[in-house]
Amino acid sequence: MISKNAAQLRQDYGQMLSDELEMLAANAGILAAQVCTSDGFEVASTRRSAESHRRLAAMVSSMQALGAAVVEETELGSYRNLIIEGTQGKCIMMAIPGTGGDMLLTVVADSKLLFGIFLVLCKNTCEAMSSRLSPVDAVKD
Amino acid sequence: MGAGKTTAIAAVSGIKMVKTEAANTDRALFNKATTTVGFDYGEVSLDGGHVLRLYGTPGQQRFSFLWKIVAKGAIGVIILVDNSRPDPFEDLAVYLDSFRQFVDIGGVVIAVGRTESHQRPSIDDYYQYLAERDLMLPVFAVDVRKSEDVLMVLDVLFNMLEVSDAESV
Repeated sequence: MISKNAAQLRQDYGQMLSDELEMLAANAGILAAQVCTSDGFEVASTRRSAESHRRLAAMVSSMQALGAAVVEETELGSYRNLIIEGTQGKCIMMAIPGTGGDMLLTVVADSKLLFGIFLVLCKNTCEAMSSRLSPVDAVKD
Repeated sequence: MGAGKTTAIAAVSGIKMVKTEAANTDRALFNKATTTVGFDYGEVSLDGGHVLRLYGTPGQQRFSFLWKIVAKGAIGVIILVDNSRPDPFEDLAVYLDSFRQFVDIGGVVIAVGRTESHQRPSIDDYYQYLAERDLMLPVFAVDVRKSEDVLMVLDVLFNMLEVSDAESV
């Protein structure tokens, strides 16, 4: 469990996370991305209003927790990610490895971006973020 | 946060509770390790084979979108107030406003926790506060760890809903 709050995470990792999000968002089809804590506080974000990201962080927190409850109920191991598809695009919510599920990456993409590519891009971003966490903060998932 | 909603449902649920907790990073607000971010779910078996489904929502305002979702299928609401908070009435006002549709039909019971350690405001103070808002809702001091306290509040809510139903016929 990461012991820092959103403000401390923002201070320690805000720039790194923003850089990674910007690199991700530079890919065609990516509409927005954010990192938040598992209790619903935004840490870093790109391509939407701050207010929208604040609301989204709370929703992602709830969705992730419900997803984890389903994973537990169906005995599917540990929660990894949740995908939502709308007529205009899709959204993925991923636990960032090495945070014990306490930091989440959320990415919104348009409908043209292929699922497989979307998934690989998001996983690569998660891995990159995870590898740049301080060993002090990295925890076993 | 920290009023004891999860504990209250755990005290009476006849099934293994569904919990949706996350690490609490907002220790300044309440110093506890985890907080509910989805909803808690439990069940209470009633006479006649009926089942009462209990949903506990996160208390923080940023989760108010969930309050609306859960309220859609609800028959009544128990507002659990933490008497140790700096201004319990301010907290209560938020939930009375957010669940106004239940207040209007008499489908709300107010349960006040941590009254043993924090005796003010008193239950009478709560009634006075409600009267100033032209509201008549039952208020009880509860220990959410005790199943009899939680069941008593549920019983009162049921009775109120029955009266409300009878009056609307």
